[in-house]
Amino acid sequence: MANVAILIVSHSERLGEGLVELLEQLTLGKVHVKSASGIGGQLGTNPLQVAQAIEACPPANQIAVFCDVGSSIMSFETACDLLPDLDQSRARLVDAPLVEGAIAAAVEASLDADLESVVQAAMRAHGLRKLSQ
Amino acid sequence: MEGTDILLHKTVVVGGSEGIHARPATELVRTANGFASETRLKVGGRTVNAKSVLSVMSLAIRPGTPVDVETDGPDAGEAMDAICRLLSGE
Repeated sequence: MANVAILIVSHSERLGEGLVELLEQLTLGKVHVKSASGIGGQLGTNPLQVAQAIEACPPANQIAVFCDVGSSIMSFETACDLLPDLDQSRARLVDAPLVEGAIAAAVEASLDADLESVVQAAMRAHGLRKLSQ
Repeated sequence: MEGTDILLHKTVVVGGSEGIHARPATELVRTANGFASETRLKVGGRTVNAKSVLSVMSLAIRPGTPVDVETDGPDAGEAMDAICRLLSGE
C-alpha cells in the first residue's frame, strides 16, 4: 500500500464517489482513496463524516485532502478540531483544483511518494493547459 | 560503461485504437518513474516530462500520432525500450 491516502470532500456525494471511482482505476487500487461528501443524499459537507474518514485511513498513511469550495474547507478545519493530534498532523488540505489535483496526487501516491511530493504534484495542476495552442 | 549518462532520441507512432487516454497515460507515467533517466515526450511542438501525469494526460495523444521520445540518464536504453513499447502498443 502507498504512503499517502487521498480524501475527497465535496458538497456532492455523487461527485465525490465518481472521483473516487476514477482515482481507484487510475491507481489500480494501490492507494487508499475515500470520499466524505454530501449529507445523506443532500448537498453539503459534514465535519463528523470528514473526521471519521480521516480516522479510517490506514494508520501508517499521511493524508492529502481535496475539497471543492467554501464550506467543505470549513468542514475539514472543524473535523481537525474534533480529531486527536496524531490524526490532525497527518492530514493536509491541498490547495489545488479538485479533479486534476486529485488525479495527479493519486498517481504520485501510487508511486510510493511521500506527502510532500504528492502535494507538489497536485499543485502543478494550477498551471495545466488542457488544449495545445 | 557503468554510471554514464546517455541521451537517446526515437520517434514512435502511437498504436492501438484508443490513444493515450487516462489509463495508458498513468501506466506510462508509472513506467517512466521506474527509471532513473528523465523521459520527455514531444508531440506537435509541445514537450512534456513523462514522469508528470497531468502533462502526459494533457497531451491527449491520438492513435497514429508520431511522438518524439527522449530519454536521458544512466538507464536511457531500458527506459526508451519500455516507453516505446507502451506507446506503440506492441
